[in-house]
Order: sequence, then C-alpha cells, then structure tokens
Amino acid sequence: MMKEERMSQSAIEVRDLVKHYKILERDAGLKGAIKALFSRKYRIKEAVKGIDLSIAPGERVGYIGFNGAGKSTTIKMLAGVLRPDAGSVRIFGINPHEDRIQNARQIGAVFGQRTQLFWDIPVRESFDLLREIYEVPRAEFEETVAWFIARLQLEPLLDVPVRQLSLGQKMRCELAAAFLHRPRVVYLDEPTIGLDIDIKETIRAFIREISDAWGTTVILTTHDMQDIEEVCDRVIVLDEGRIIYDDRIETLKQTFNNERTLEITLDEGTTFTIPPSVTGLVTELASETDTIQLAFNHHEISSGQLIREIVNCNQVKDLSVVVPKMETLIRNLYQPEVSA
Amino acid sequence: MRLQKYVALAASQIKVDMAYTAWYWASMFSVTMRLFILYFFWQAVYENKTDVSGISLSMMLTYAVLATMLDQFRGGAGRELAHLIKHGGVAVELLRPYHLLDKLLAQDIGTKTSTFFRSTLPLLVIAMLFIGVDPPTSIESAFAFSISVVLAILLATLIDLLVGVLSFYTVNVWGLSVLQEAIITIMSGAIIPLTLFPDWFQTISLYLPFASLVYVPVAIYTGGIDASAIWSSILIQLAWVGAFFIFVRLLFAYAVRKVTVFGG
Amino acid sequence: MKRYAKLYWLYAKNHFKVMMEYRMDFLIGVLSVFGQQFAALFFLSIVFQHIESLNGWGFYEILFIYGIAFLGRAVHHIFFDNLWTIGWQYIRTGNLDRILMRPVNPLFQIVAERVQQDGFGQLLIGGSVLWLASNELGMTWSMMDILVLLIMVLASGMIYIAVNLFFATFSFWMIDSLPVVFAVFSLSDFARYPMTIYSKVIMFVLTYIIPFGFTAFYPAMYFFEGRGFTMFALATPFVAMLSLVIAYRFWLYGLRAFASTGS
Repeated sequence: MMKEERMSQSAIEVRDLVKHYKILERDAGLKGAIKALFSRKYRIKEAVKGIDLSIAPGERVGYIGFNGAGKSTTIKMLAGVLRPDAGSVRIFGINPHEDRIQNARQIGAVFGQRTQLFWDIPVRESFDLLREIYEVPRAEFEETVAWFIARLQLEPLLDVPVRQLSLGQKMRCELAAAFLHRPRVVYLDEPTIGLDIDIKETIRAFIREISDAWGTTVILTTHDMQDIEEVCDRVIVLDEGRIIYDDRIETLKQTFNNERTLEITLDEGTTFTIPPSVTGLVTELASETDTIQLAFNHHEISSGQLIREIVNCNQVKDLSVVVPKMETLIRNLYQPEVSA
Repeated sequence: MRLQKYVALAASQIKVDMAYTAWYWASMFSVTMRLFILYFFWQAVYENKTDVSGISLSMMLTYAVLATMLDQFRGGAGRELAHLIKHGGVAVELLRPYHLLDKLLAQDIGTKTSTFFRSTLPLLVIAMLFIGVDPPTSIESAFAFSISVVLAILLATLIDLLVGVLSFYTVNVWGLSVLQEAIITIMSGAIIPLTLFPDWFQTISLYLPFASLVYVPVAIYTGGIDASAIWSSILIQLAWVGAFFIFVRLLFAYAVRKVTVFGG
Repeated sequence: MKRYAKLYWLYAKNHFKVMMEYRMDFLIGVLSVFGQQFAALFFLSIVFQHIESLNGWGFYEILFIYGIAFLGRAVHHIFFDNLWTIGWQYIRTGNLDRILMRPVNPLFQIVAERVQQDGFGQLLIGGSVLWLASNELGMTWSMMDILVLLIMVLASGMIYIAVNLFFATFSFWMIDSLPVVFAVFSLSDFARYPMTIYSKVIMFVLTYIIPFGFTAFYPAMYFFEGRGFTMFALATPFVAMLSLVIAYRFWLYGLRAFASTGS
C-alpha cells in the first residue's frame, strides 16, 4: 500500500528495465546480402540490462555515460517511443508506451540537433501550432510565451523561419518550445552542444528558473559536465546498460572530492624539498624545473596545513590549489579509486 | 595521359551505381511495366489494321522498345552540375586540374555505360522474349544504328549539361528541367515515331535537335529512315553534337568568368 | 475529431503562407505538372489521328478515363504527398521519434506536414479533360451523377493513398521503402487505359491484388452506358474503403514493430 502511494507520487518510476537489440549478422558484399535473406543470424546487443530509477517530481537529474552506454535507449523508453523488453516504466503513473498519447501531453523534449519546431515557418507560428497540438489555453499560453521571450531574448527571432536561425538561436527556441505546454517532465538531450558560452549560461539559467517555478522534472543528458554542475541536483551514471552511480551531486563531490593538487612555483635557482612532516601524505607528480605539482588527499591533510609546511621549507614564489573538475570525479566512478 | 584521368572518373562512377540495388530492381520493374503497357496498347491499336502510316505492328513495337531504352539515357551530368552550383561545390571544382565539363561528361559516360550493361541489356532480353523485337533491316543499318545511338546519347548528355549550366543564370532550374523533359520526350520521338505527327510538326522538328535524340537512331534501325538518308541523318546528328558542345562550353566559360569576377 | 480538423487547418494555413512566399516555385511546379500531363494527352491525340478506335473504345471515352485518373491522383498528390517521404524523412532521420512524442496521431502529423499546391494544377487539368470528354460524348449530368462523380474521384484518391501507405509501411523494416513504392506505382499507369486491352492476368492483378483498376477504369464505367462492368463500378467506393482499412491496419502493425526494435 505504502509503495503504491509512493509510486503514484514519483515522477518517474522504473523497475528492472531491459532492452535488447537484434542486430542482423551478415557478411559483406552481394553474397552476404543474399545469404542474409535465407538464414537469419542474429546477434543480441543488450543495450539496457535491468535498471531501476525513482525520480521525484521537481528533481533535475543528469543522466550521463559514454556513447553506447544505453542513455538514448533509456530516454526513448521513458518517452514511450521504444517498447521495453522487460520491466516497467511509469511516468506519473502512466505507462508511456501503452498510453502514448496520454503520456505525450505531460512531456516535453529537446533532442540535440533534431528540431521540434516546424522548419519553414516563423518561430511564432511554430509556437502557435504547438499550442494547438498540446491544447494549451490561450491566456496561459500568452503569459508563458511572454515570459519565455523575455528570459531567452526571443523577440527578434519570432518572425524568422526556423531554418534561417543560427544554432544558438534555434536552441533557445527549442527550449522554449519544449516547455511551452507546461509539461511535468522534460527530456533534454545535449541541449548545449556546440553553443557559445554565453548562450549556454542563458539556457542553464532558464532551465533552472522554469523548473523551480513549475516544479518540472528535468532529465538532462549531456557530455558537458558544467551543464550538470549548474543545472542538476542529482546525477545518474550509466555504463554498458547498468547504473553504476545514482546520488546527489554534493555526495558525489564529497565522496570523491578528496584529491587536490598543489601547484608550486619556486624562486629561480632554488631547489625543492619535501618537508619530512608531509612525506607520506603527498605524491610528487611530473614537474618541471621551477614548477612542482603535489597530489594529496585533503582529508588526510588540509590544504592550509600543507601550504604552511611547504612554505616553511622552501622559497615559494607562487602557489595554487587545484580542485578536481566534475569530469575527473565522473571518470573516477569508472575506475573506483583505492583512496576513499 | 589526360585521357586516363577521365577514364578513371568514368570507372569510379560505375562502382558507385552498383550500390543502389533496391533502386535498380525498382527501375527495372517500372521500365518493364512501361514496355508491357506499350505492348498492350499497340496490340489494341492494330486490332483491326495491319499498318499505321506505313508502319507494321512489329515495326512499331520494335520502335517502342528501342525508343524507351534510349530514353533512359537522358539525364545525369546536367543535374550533377546544377547540384554543384546550388550547393556551392562548383567553387572547389573550378580549382581542380581538369575541366569541370569534361569531368562531368566522363562521369556521365561511366554511369551510362554501367546502365547499359546492367539495365538496358536485360531489358532488351525481356523485350525480345515477351514483346518481340525485329532484327535490323540490314548490316549497314545495324552499323549506322550503333553510331547513331552513341551520337544520340552524347547529344542528350550535352543538352542536359546545357540546362545545368543555365543554373548559373537562374535560380529555378528544377522547374525548367522538368518542363524541358516533357517537351523533349514528345519532340524526340520517344513516345511515337515522328512520322505519325502532323506534317507541320514534322517540318518544325527538322530544324530542332530533338529528333536526333531518339527518332533518328531508332528509325535507322527499323528502316523508317530510308537507306539513302541514313548517313545524312547521322551527319546532322554530328552537327548538332558539335554545335551543342561548343555552345555549352562558351556559356560555361562566360558564366565562370561572371561568377569569379562578381563572386558568389 | 473537431480538434483534428482545427489542427489540419492550422497546418494548411502555414503551408499556404509558405507557398505565397515561394510563388515562383509554385508556378513552376504547376507548369511542370501541366507539361507531364500534356505529353500523355498529346500522345493519345496523335495516335487517334490514325485510328478510329482502340479495342472498341473511342478517343473521348479514353479521355474520360484519363480525367478520372488525373483527378484521383491529384487528390492523393495534394494532401497525402508526404507519404512518399516516410522512409527518408521520418524514419531514417529519427524524426519519427519527435512525432511519437506528441499527443497527436503520428500518421496525421506526417500527412499534415505537407500540402502539395501544384497538385491543384493536376486537378484543373483533370477537370478540364473530364469536362471536354463528357461534352464530346454528349453526356448529361444530373445532381446524382455529379455526386457519384465526386465519390468516385475521392475513392480513386483513397486507393492511391492506401497503396502508397501500405508499401511505405515497409520502411519500418527497410528504413526506406521508396523504391518499392515507386515500383508498385508504375503499375498505376496501366489504369489509364481501358483495361480490356490487357491480358486476363493483368486485369486480375489490377482488380484483386493492387486495385488500381478502381482508380479510373471501373469508376468511369458507371458513366458509360452499355459498356458493362457496372458491378465493378459500384464496388469502387467499397474497394477504396477496404484498401484504406487494410493499409492503415498494416501501418499500425508496422508502428508497433518499430517501437519494439527501434532504429
């Protein structure tokens, strides 16, 4: 009873989701093509090998993994485009594949290069068409559009046909289009790819603002870790069809964020000595004549203390503490480190 | 030495065409159907007659088959050129160490040679089995036919190239191209022998190059063109080929000059 | 239902706006259609300068059959032309996914996304040819006859649509079945002429297998007296609906299969 209640409350509920692809094996050339007609030899590719997900309304989740890990397959099953081979998917209690149209009303999506808009007509007309498709009441629609126009600076683009827009302009319109009908869940697949940094910022801010205001659940697939860091509060990592990490971003940072690197630039002509007090706590990385890099675990010794020790024994001209990037943290997930 | 280059281009085109198997079967099927429709149509026409305007049923069928086959060799180079111009690829081509028109011609010849062996020959076999194709009237006409066919195909390619070059001058060549296709289909005799046309029409076609595209070669084969007129017809074909070759080259050179001076 | 009508109207409005922008293209499109049809008619008229009848059929009777074929084809061409593009424009590109994520019937979306305005040129020619033929044949038209004509033309269009849809559905397995659709449509040219000139086999195929016979010949027979085939003529609308049902069912099946295998 309790579990069902919880299930109807969660935005996305996935259990034991499995998807296989049958890939036709055939030899090259004409002979192979003819042979393939008679003997159907298949190779099974397991794209998704049984994953569980439970995402609450309003969460912004980064869904990442290498290419071929099974991300787009999962998203397609969540969107109702692909039928799972086993397991269950419920979006706010609705089975997206069986009740496709009902589910379609509550979702929005941006799919990287492919456009949700209509190619030949002005952006404004595209929005109007979408309004009709999603049956958004006019008053609400006008309000939403005005808000989006302001946030994404769409005013000069409204009368331009989509095909004449630059990538950055198109992306902003795509984003607006995805959220236009106030969907409960939005799937964003590579929404910032190839964009200038200022547009990326605008888009990230927009996603945050809208989902905060409306409580929209956001699933973001991207290779840009900065996107994840600025937009998401939770990150799920997929590797070869299985989930290898699913937790809040803070936890990720805390768990793996132990490594620091201290970069030291010495006065010219001086030599570097590692003070005996910290010998076991640091590893010297490849260094050049006057620049030294020391790796250390900041749980074992704080940056401040290490700096004090180093400065006492050396003639330091400059130093900086480097915090590992998201990418490093994620990469560590694939090769679990000895230090924890 | 330079010729080798163009032969290689022709050969490469043959390999590319091999890739499109589904389309191959589809076009074989569709042309076969076209032949069958013509067969039944003419059978019906000749139901109560033995000849139409001096042409017997078997001669008409032979004409229909050969004309349909020849009609397959029309497009290619021109469309390729128009495409290059429209999408800007022409600029790159103009930098290369060959004449673009020659390259397009060479490639087209490659495609058409490939078409001949893959499509035309099998279709001819089908036609011979199910429809009935007369043998040529004489050895001389057979020989003249082969020459005439080559000239006809060359002329068709050049006309197509001309339409392609025109896309330097106008934006909307596609529409022009489709329109021109329809007109040429009628005036070349691809549908029916020109001798069935009203007299005034036949007079006009004497002054136009289109008859040389289909009617002349096929009529040489079927004997529709008298033995005495065979070689003069071929000469006329040759003249048209020469004229178009020069004309296309001139137009192209002028267009290139205009483009490179003004850019875009 | 009303919602779909409103939606279609919105789509169509946009298409017309675009068409107005590209007036030149539209005109050229119409002209080229004119050109193609003209060639076919020209051929026929030339032949009939040398003969009296074709297998017992007069020039204007054949013209009448042509007219119905043109009209039916125009209906298909104007509103359902996008069916040709299912393979390369929707399945190969992945655009079908985007369509499936909208709360609207996917086939409706595909069809609504294109209106071929140059098909109106086809409609015009077909209508003119029909009118000319009917005059020369001395046909009289009651209200009932006109109604039946409308139904027959619509039925003819529906058959083209059904055949197109059926074979386009193979794209779910072939990625792009356009060559197959193209090949099958080459059979439609048979339907322009009185089918009595063909062998029994061909008549059978065009009546019971790929019902192109019902796009021109059989419906035309309704309007001719003493030519027979009345039963077939009357069957036309039913054949059209049956074809559509079969094609649509197959489409749904293909869609389900596609959702299982992905692309």
